[in-house]
Amino acid sequence: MSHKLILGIPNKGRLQKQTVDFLKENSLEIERGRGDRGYIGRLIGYDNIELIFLSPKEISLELMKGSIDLGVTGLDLINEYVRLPDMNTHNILELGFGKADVVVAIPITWIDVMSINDLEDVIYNFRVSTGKRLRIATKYPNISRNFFEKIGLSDYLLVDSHGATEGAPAYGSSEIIIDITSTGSTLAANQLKRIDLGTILESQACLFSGLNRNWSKDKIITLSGLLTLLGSDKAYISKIVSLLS
Amino acid sequence: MNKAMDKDPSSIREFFINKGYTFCNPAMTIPADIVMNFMGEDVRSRLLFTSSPSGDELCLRPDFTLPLAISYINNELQANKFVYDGYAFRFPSINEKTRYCPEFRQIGIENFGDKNKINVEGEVISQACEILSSFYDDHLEIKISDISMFYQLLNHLKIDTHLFNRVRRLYWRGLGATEIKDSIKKIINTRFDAKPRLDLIDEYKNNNLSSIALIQKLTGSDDLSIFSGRRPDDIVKSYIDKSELINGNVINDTVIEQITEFLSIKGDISRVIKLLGNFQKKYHIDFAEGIENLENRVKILKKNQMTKDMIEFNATLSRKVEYYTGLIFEIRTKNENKNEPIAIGGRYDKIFEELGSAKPIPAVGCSIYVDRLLFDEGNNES
Repeated sequence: MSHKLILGIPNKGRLQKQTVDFLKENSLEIERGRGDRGYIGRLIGYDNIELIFLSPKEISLELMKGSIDLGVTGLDLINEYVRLPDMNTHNILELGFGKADVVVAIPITWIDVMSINDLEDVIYNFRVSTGKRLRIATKYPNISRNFFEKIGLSDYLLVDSHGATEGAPAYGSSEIIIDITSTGSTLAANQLKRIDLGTILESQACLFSGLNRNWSKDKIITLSGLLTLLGSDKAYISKIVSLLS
Repeated sequence: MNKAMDKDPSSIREFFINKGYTFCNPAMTIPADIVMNFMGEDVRSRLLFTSSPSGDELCLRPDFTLPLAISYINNELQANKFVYDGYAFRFPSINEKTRYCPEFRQIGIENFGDKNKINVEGEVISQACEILSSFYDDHLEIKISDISMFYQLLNHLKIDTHLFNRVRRLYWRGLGATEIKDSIKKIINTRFDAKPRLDLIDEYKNNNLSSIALIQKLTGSDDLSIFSGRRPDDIVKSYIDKSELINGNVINDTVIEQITEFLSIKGDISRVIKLLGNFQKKYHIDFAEGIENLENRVKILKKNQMTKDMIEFNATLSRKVEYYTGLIFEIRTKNENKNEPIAIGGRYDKIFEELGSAKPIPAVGCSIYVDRLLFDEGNNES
């Protein structure tokens, strides 16, 4: 069992479909045990790889815990859920799909705010005039906190949001939001806009390896084979091999 | 060498009572909006909130100055000089090594209403040093600054309100001169850079356009319902202020140079007085009062036998609470590993007016961090 490489695959939704399509393009076919609801599966013809179907968030967490070797998940989720992402995971391959940005978005009516610097003025004036901190709805509290810490701002209040974050300013549960966006159409539909310097993270789906995992020789050989199939060159593969060994 | 471990910190309280301060224990909770107005953003992010049964937001006292000032202004106190000893509440910041829990013991003094400003300031620092030196064999390090000179410089430079407030915030964050310089440059380079619609601004100014209409035109949308707590008039005012800035008042390099040069002033007092003298000549600003105040404070400290302690001026000394108006000071031990001051204090003359007092009341105070006093670096590291 332990010589098998365990690869986490998104268990539903668009990210799963795109992952399956991506593997297909590289001549890899997935067989999911017991149909679409099974949580384990295999790559046809590659017995050394075991697939486990998890939500993208769980894939991030299991990579950190060291219970899976590899996983396909979003860069945003790794940054949000993994403590010290660079110490606990390694981004092996950017897969080129699931592209979206984590951004600060504000009401379009705020015509005086073009950039994060203008937002800082508003945050300051908001507190002075209301005695309250500006509320930011987000499902990315850790990414948000790190971002504001870097620019030295702490005068905001994060409001937890689980889904439909873009609606928060409309129903008054926050003033602005930090959320993921690809085309920006959902933001626009909710009278929100992006601002300069307000792109926190350019996310996409990636293949990550867990660094808290025992990488046996067998598994490393299997991984090298997999990366070759996915089009990585020899130099890059040997770099990954030396990182994991 | 730290003698503090064997000494009862309550002796500090007794010392101040003997010097004529009245012991008092102010309210543990304060209305949250008052705290939010007075504390700096660093403290604001570490407050402990609670709420009353009727839904009022309250805050556990993050220091003693605010609740004491509130009691004082409500005529609940019968004296003018106070000593306090108790717990204040803030979650520790990342760099704090001396505590893990949100409560920390502070013993300190407040002097309200004494118009003899420089004498009181000298007295407060001298007394704090006197009692603290009984806890240490080594001499103490006193760092002082005067924020009123910095504000005087910013007014002298006639920079716009947005930049003025930003520079003040950078200063309150406790940044050094170079960091502040880099930040100002960054701010200027990324200023509000839209091509402003001066035609629409003119229409607005001639009362031919309402705030909402202006916003509608600029956004190209008639269907606007989300303002997130801001008034359209305020948004438009801010838009116009920023737009006009691009065309007019450009920040030139000498403004940045003067701010940086001022904030770089530090060192022993005689050197600093020379530097301040050169500065005022070079940039035509009148620092005479600030310099005289500095000299007089130091005279009092010397008269009170503080000659062995090292006294330094540092223009970037900042307190991360926003109510200081003049003197700011910090007292440290000479232990180089010990980054955090064991006592801090200064002058906050506007606090009473901002709390609603009809007349100004001068105020000076000093707080001693008991946990830092008792924290023995050497023992901790071994």
